[in-house]
Amino acid sequence: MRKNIAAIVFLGCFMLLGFSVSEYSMNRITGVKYRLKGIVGSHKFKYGDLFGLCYLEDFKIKKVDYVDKPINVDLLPRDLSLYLICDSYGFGPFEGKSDYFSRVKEFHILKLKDPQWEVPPFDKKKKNVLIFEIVLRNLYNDMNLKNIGSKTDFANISNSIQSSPTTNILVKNDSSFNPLGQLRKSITWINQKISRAFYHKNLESHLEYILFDFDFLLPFKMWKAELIMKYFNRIDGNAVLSRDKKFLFMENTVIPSFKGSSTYPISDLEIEAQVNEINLLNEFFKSKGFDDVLFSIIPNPYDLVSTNEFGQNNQLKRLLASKNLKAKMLDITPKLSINAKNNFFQSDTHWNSNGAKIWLLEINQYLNSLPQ
Amino acid sequence: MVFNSLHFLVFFGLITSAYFLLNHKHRWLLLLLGSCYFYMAFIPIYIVILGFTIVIDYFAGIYLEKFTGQKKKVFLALSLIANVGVLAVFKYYHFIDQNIGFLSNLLGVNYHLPAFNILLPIGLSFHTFQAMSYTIEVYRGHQKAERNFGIYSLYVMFYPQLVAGPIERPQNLLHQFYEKHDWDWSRVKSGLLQMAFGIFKKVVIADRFAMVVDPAYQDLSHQSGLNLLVVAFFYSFQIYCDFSGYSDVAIGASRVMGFKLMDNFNGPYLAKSLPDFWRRWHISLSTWFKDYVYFSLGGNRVSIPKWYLNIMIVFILSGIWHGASWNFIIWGFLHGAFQVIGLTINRFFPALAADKIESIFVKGVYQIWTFSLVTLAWVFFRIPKFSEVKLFFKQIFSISFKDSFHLALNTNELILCFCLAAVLIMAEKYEWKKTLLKGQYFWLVFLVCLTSIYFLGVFNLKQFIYFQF
Repeated sequence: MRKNIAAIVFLGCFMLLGFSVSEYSMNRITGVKYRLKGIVGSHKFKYGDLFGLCYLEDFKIKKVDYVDKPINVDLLPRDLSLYLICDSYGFGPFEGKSDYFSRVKEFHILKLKDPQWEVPPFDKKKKNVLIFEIVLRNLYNDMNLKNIGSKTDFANISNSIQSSPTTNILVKNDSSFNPLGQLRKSITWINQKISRAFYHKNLESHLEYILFDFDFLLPFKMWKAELIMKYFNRIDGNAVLSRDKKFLFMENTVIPSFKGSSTYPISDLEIEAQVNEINLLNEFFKSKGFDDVLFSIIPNPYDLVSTNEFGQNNQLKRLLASKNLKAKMLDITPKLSINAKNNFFQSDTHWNSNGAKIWLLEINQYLNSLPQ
Repeated sequence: MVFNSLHFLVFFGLITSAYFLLNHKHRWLLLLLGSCYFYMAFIPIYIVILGFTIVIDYFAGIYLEKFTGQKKKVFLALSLIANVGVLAVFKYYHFIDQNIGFLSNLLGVNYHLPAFNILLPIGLSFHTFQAMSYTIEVYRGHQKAERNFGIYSLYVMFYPQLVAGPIERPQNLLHQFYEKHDWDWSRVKSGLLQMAFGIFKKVVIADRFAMVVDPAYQDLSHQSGLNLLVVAFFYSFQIYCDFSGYSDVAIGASRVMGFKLMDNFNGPYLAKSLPDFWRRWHISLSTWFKDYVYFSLGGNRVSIPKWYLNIMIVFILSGIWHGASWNFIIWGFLHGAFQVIGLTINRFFPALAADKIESIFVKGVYQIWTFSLVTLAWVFFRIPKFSEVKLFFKQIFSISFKDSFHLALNTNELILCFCLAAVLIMAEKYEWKKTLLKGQYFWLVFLVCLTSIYFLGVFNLKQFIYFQF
């Protein structure tokens, strides 16, 4: 009997660890958990991702609206092939929605967080347009040539990128043999390989998701959250409450220590380095054969719905004002700012259907403006 | 992998269940592999450094047993140099470089050492000292050299105490790897309960106190004297619960599998004097220094000035052990100086010695005085920069009743913090832990503990303070 119990515990723990280190298994488990209903159903992201961090009743999103297909989207002939590289802002509302985009005949959506992209060959008869959407908080980690270059598998890769004058700002060209540097590189490589194989960076949240994300546990989580709010006047989780207690913000977008936060004291040099990365990416995509490349950086919700109570670094404004910026940019800050609180969820890090629709209309206007 | 994580919970379940499923003969291998996995969760490649010291000390042990006289001394010296060398390179290189650079600048000498930017391997001082204790004990003939390389590696790497102790002695631990530990429910219960107490101390007390302490120390210029007084008091409890919580989990996890590790704490804040404090705080380290440094220097069987010097040397070394920074050295110096001053006073006024006091009231005064001195020294331990230490004391000495009192937690939570500190002191005074670990009302106590951990715990995966050492 004792041995049997030990064997069950062993198997259970082994499977838990095994599943938690594998991205593939986690995707499968997430799929299964989302289909489950009743007390074993999942609640982590169902009511807003920030609610899933703090479990405060007032911030439970009851109903999620979806973006409708815009009217007048079928007026022009569909002659474009659109590649949309995006984070969850674009992926959530627009996955598989090719008919939402003006003039788009073929639509390929590439998720920024995916480790590898499989891109079908370009259709040379069509104009190949690339739109790169990213929210400000992800800019530092995800929007750089190193990251994009490592995952891109464009079918017609032929010519390598030529360094532009701006490349010198960031890329140091050191061709001399440096054994210590090589050793350091190898050690980093080994560390990364082992860490990826056995210690997934999200292992802890994966385990929490598998073990404790069941609807029957939600009342306990909400009870704890209410107790902490009522008696200790704080949130238990990585979310921050706005001063007026109307909005929740992701902690990483309001703490000054995180690069990507709207309060991080970003220097002009760092801004220029980001501009340089955008220019490099622009050249990279063009060298891969795209006819048109457009970048769209979405501000953090905090930038639009708060009173800047935790500070403001004006990162996007400064970046767009840079004289060195050579890529085409679509700034939807002015449009999103109008009645901003209607464009974002109260307790989610993303825009709601209104915000997504504003972006879509701007994109469609841009696509319509492209030459035939 | 930190003890206060789900990763550890699953890992512990996996290793412990496999341990009891496996034949006794193969258990050491399981523990060794598990310990490697545990250690590599921090920075995988650093296992090579650990492997290096293990290989050196393993062979040193064998040769120390084989040879006598001068050769024996050479092997001990080689082993100690290798261990201290690893510490010097990975822990003290930057510090040494900085200070020599500063001196050369003063003297106008051109000095340059290549930069060596590397993260400190986690728990380096702990496992290095444990390895050193092995070779010293073999040298002294108190311990036979271990021939099984795997078992010796496990002695250095045994996962519960690998990164923050207790620093074990070979006589206590090595033989336990050869003993067969059967499943004993009362022992398992006691181990699980001690683990739960440890996690409680860490996530309910230490990490809650950290929410007050960390922001205040990061922004000293905006803190009133009153704030800093409370913060210094809280830090004493934070560091105690953080470190003793780790030790409790380590000892408890080992006990579940049948291993007995040495106690590391025994109600240190109930100490009536500083020597008494050091008999109760980080016992495995203080006895290490006593056995291998203090006694080697002659202990107290020397002239009084030499005795005082021995005390100062031991405490300054203890400070250096903690970290490669002047603030740790000052912390050690202060503890040494306090003891020397105390001993001098006792020489001239023997009736004032702490062990001669019988009045409960006076004992209480001694306890509060000792706690205050320890808290004062913790300020130097916590703040690395002199300018900030100066600022801290400037604010403290300008304390007034008009001071604003505003900390990162609200009044309710601050009251809870004081209550937790009071309960902790009571629990230690009346030895509640010992009573509860006997297993009476196990399920009730365990359930209350887990419920409190869930509802009152601060789950931010904050690392243990002593991991940095």
